[in-house]
Amino acid sequence: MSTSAVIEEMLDDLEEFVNLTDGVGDMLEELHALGEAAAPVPDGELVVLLAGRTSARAEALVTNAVGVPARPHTGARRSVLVGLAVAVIVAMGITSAAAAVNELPTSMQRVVAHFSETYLPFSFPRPVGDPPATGEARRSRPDERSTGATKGTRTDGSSAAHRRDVAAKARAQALADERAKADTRARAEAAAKARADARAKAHAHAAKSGSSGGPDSSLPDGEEGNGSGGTGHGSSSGGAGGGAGQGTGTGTGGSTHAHQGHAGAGRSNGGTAGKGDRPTVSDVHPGKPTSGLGSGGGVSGTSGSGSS
Amino acid sequence: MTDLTDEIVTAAVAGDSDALGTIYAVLSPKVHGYLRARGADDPEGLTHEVFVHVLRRMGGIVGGAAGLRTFVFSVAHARYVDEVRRHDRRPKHAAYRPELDDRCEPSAESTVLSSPGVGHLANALGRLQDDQRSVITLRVLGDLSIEQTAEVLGRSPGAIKQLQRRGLLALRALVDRGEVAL
Repeated sequence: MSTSAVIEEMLDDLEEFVNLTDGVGDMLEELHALGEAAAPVPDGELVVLLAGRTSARAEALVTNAVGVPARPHTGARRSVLVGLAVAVIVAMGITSAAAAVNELPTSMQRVVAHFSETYLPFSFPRPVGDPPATGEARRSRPDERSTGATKGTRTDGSSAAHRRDVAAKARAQALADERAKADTRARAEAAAKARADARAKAHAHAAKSGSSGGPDSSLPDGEEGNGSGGTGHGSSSGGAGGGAGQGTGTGTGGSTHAHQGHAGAGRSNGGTAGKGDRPTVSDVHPGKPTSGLGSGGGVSGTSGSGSS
Repeated sequence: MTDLTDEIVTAAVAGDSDALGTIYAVLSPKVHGYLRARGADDPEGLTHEVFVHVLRRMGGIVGGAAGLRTFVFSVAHARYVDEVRRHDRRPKHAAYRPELDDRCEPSAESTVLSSPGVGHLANALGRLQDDQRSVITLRVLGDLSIEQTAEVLGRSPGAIKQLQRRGLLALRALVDRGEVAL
């Protein structure tokens, strides 16, 4: 279709409404003349394209006005990459959401749970009926083991409950151990007290019977009491770590009882001093009831008291 | 001037440089004139962009010469619309008096409007509605039929006919009232 044909067609259409179309025709001819000018001089990339070098390599060699190599289709490539990235992110989000509520197919849920247990700082629940995660998966996550807590979202909550149970059991165990130690200590103290009472009774009995001299066979566990003189009374009290001996009448050798790691030193006043100072095993092994050896020489005389 | 034929377009699609040169020689002045008539700031630069875009996609051209002509003016119109939108996004500075500023050269639009034979034409076209102006310039400068113009503008042929008729009647009224000097 020629240009004049287009203009004639337009004017013919206009003449259906107005008679004189000269002015409009002249204006359209002037408009048409604008397209009769010389073609703009091509440059740069357009020259290469007009030469028929339309291969991608030729286009890549084209440089723009500032000398920077042109990058054709960069926008389209970027759009494709952005689209792919968005699709991947959306797919991961949907999969994660479904895995969090355990609504994926069983095999897929198992795979996702295993992946999360192995590589992620949080875990997705395993499918219903599946055994819990093996130690293999757990061993590969030292951070979780060391801290004892998981980051992120623990979706099932069973592991948190398990950790709480373990902590409660540990506390209960520690408390039980403390109680057992306390019971052992109380029993040892009671036994020591009973022994001390027995010794005191034995002393009292010996004093009443007026026996003197010779080793005090009633002293248990190698304790020796030497007493001389007439009547004597000796008493000792254990538990507080000291023994007190008091002699009346004839001199009584201070008996020394070492108990619960305290060395006793007995000294008698009045008659012949009875001395007993002897380190005991309890100095070396505290807390272990030991026996002390008290020796005293008693010479009849006035009353005396010994204390240890 | 060599007329654009289907054989030339076929050769250009095959990568023949002579055919490509012919296409550029035939169509680039019309594209340039279309962009000038629409008042583009840089008609040469836009013409360059249009043909870079067209030549990169020559392999997908169908419809022979008519199809190529339609495609070329579709791209030209789209580029012009893009430029208009870019203008709209730029901040507008008011009260600038270019006649008082001797530091700058006249813009491309000022050159178009002040060039002989174009000023009154641009004035007349500027009084039309945008759709009417598009139809008249595409038909006259692009040698497009009603159907081709409808395809470029995305309208129906009936709508294009109506817009063309109203545009020509408006031009006629301007001439009759003496508001446009011929």
